[in-house]
Formats: sequence, C-alpha cells, structure tokens
Amino acid sequence: MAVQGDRREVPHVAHHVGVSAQTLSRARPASTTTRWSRRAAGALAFAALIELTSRTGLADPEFLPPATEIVGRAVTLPADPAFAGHALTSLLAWAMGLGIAAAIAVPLGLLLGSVPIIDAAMRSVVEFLRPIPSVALIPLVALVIGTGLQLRVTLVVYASLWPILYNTMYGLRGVDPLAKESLRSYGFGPLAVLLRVSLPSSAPFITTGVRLAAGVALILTVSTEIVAGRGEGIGVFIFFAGISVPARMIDIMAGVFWVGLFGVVVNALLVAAERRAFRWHHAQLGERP
Amino acid sequence: MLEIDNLSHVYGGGSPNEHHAIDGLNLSVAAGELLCIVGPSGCGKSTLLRSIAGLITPTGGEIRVEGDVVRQTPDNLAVVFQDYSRSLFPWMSVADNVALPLRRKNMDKRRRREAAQEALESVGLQDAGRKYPFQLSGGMQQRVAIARALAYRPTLMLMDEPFGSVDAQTREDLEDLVLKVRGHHQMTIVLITHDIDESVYVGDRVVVLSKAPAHVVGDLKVELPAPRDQISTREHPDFVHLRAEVGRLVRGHATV
Repeated sequence: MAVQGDRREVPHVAHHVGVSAQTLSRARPASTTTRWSRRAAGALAFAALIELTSRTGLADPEFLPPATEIVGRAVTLPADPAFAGHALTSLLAWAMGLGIAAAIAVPLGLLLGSVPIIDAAMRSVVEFLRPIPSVALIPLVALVIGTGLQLRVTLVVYASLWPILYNTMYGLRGVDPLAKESLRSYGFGPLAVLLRVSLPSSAPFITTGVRLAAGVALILTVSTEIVAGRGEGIGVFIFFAGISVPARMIDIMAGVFWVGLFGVVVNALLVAAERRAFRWHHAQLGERP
Repeated sequence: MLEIDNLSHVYGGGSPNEHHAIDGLNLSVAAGELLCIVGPSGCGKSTLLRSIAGLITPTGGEIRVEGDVVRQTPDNLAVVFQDYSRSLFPWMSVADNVALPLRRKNMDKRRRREAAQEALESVGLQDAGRKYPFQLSGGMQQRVAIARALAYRPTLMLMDEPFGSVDAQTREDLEDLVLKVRGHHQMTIVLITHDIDESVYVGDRVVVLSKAPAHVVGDLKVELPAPRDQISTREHPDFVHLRAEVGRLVRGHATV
C-alpha cells in the first residue's frame, strides 16, 4: 500500500550501499505519462480480476463483491455523515501522529547522529525498543491512557518515529566531510555546520523517512482503531461492518478502498514533492561515476 | 603574514599505522605574496594546508597568521578546495553559496547579495547567480568556489590543488583568473599544486616539499616579467630554467 516500493527510492539507499543502483536509475523508463499509464493499466487489470472472480462465482460474492460494486459503494460513502466523521477522526490521528513523530525524530536523529557519546549511550535503548511490534503495545497503552484519540496518536508516533529517526541518522552519516570543512574554514562553529550543511544535505533522506513513516502511520491508525473497537475512525467503521450479522462485506471493502487510496495519494504527493525539492540531490546522484 | 615554525604532524600516533605527514617544516610568507607549494603526491601538502586553516591541530610546532597562533580557523581566511563539486553546497543557488560565508561578517542580506554578485562578476559569472552548481561545468563551479572566497575578502587565501580536476584549457584560464584577482584584492595566496609548470607560472615564489614526512627542500624566487602570459611566459628562458630547477628538487626527493 503506502509503503510499497517506488523505484525512485532505490538510489536513496544505494547512494550509500554501492554503485549498483546507478544503472537502475539510468534505466528508468522514459516519460511520466508512460509510467502513469502503466500503473493505471495494472490497477484496472487487478480490478477486472476481482470483478471476474466474483461475477463468475469463483469466489462467493458474499465474501468478494465485484470491483464495480466496491467502488460504487466507496463513492457513495463520503456523502454519509457517519462515514465522513469516521474518516476525519482517522485523518486527524494520522496527521497528528506523523507530525509529532517528525518533530521528535528529526531533532533526536540530529542529536544521535552528531554526538557519538549520546549515540553510544542510547543505542541499547533504541535497539531494545525498535523491534517491539507497535500493535503489541495497544493493550498496554490502552490500559494506561484509555482508548480515545490519545491511544491512536501515541501508537502512530511510536511506530512512525523509527523510519524518520533512522533515515535522519543515515543521512547525517553520508554528509560529505569536505562540505563541512568548507563551512568550517570560514570560521563557522559545529552548530552552524549542523544546521547549514548537515541538515540540508540529509534532507532528502529525512523526507524519504517521513514518506515511509506516513505509510506506517496509516497502518497504525487503522489497526489501533480496529483493535480498540470503539469510538470513531475508519478502522472502527470496518470493524463494525465485520462484526455485524450478516457481515457487510461491501462496507469493509469500501472502507479498505479509501484507506488504500489515501495511502497511494499521500505517497505520490510526497514523491513528487521530493523530486521537486531535491533536484540537486538527483542531479548529483546522476553525475556520480 | 604567515609563519610556520618547526611544524610536524603525525596521524595515528602510537598505532602500528602511524604516519608522519610533516616533520620540522619551517616557512614564512610575506603579506601580498603568492606562494606556490609543490611536492610529490602524498607528501603532506594537504595536511599542511589544513593545519594553516585550523581544520586540524598539528601534533607539533606552531603556525602564526598575522602574529596570532592558529588554534582554530583564523579570521579573514578562505580556502578553495580541489573538489569543487563537494565543497560547494548543491542545495543552494550559486549566489547563495557565495553569500553564505558573509553571514560571519555582520552584513545584512542586501549587502551580502551585492557582495556575492560583485564577486561573481570578478570571476566572469555575473549571470550564473540563480543557477545551481550542478547546472554549471566543472571549471565554472571552481570559479564559483573562487568567487565565494573572494567575496569573503580574505587577507589569506589558501588553495588546495584548485585546478587539479579541470581540463587543460580551463586550467590555464583559472590560473590567469587567480593572477588577475590578486591584483584587485590585497591578499596573500598560498597555492598548493603538484604541477611544476603551474607553480612557476603562477607563483612569486615556489617552495618545494620533500616526500612525507614533508619539510622544505627548496625555496625559489620567481622573477618573471609581468603580466604573465600563457604563451610568452612559458617560453621565457627564466621560466624554462626555473621549472627545470623545481623539477629536479621535486624529483630528487620523490620515490621513483
């Protein structure tokens, strides 16, 4: 969904890993139009497959409604004030969580990435916390702070921190020492070098981190809502569609459709923003032998 | 202007890989002089330059710029590095790159911008201010780096193999650019190169370093008619004689 690989992320990672991805970025398919029409074709083919599987009775339409019906239902949903309320609540939790995560992770990453002693001291804590699946924390956090918006935001923040934190530290590690020396040679101190060289130089990596975190945040928003199973939110809407008798499969699918569409759109917008803002970064990658 | 007393620098002191880059180097540069430092590659030239710039702390000896012992980067000093593509900031326009160091100079935004434009004009890039470094050729990028140094109005400009990464024609243009701008700005220039011809062509004085650990093995005054010219200066008998002299000094101490 939102986290899925876009081929243009490859150079971001490969920039540090090695040269191999250079060939990949050179082999990038020609025009944006071609790329978009291929994607659209893929999506249409997938929808057609669902349609056929359902219409032919290969899968029980009770469980897999035809694609046209799912989309038809999805289109009518926003007009339903109840659904709009659910959607807005989810959007709020997602945006707050992602925003708070970035506000914590970027400064923290700058600190850990530039002060080796603090990095060493924090390493074990970070390594312990990071592998904990955020979903596993839902019952604990729910007991402590309740199941409202604060639960969702807390878990979204927790899960979204990591990609941003790691990408910030990763970006800092890749800052060219000569660029830092250039500024130092004009008498600028360590803080000025951090803010004027290291931060802008790592910005493409930080932004990629935020984009990955946007996907993680969406997953956490919806799954926390489903597990909590009360209040408002798209997850709650999906959860109730699932437990009603008989289950309203079409509503589940339509809800999932909106979540997926949101993820795709956010990802595409962030990719486009990265391309625009970091033209210099891509140009530099292209020039590196 | 610049005095270097018994300078030495050891990398990884005490470890099995310890490397003596500089040992017992003495050098004195007068104000307004254009000094070229030549030496075999890997002889510690860059270590010397970084020590003068206060970017590293030498393990022994003392460097004084305008009488003050260098402990951190001296004021009024600018460095032009060989690798322009890494020393310019790719996320900033050319004008912003040139103007950035001026933030240290208590100048308001408008004056910084004017000074940057003026410096760009003096290197022949008056129309490049809004471009980004990656949109310029290598020679033009190095001109931007030189403009950035000039805008800062340094009293001491250090250049670390500034023309090592450009083609021959561009290199000659940039050599002449340095000769031109030093006339307009009152400054001392220390230019490090491994190119013997270049050192004689550009310098008022050429200092030859030994292979590592570096110390001074030759110190020659260059008295060639001004203005220097890429064709006539290079065929001048004194030029031919001096470059042979410098060549012998460099070679005599290089590992073959």
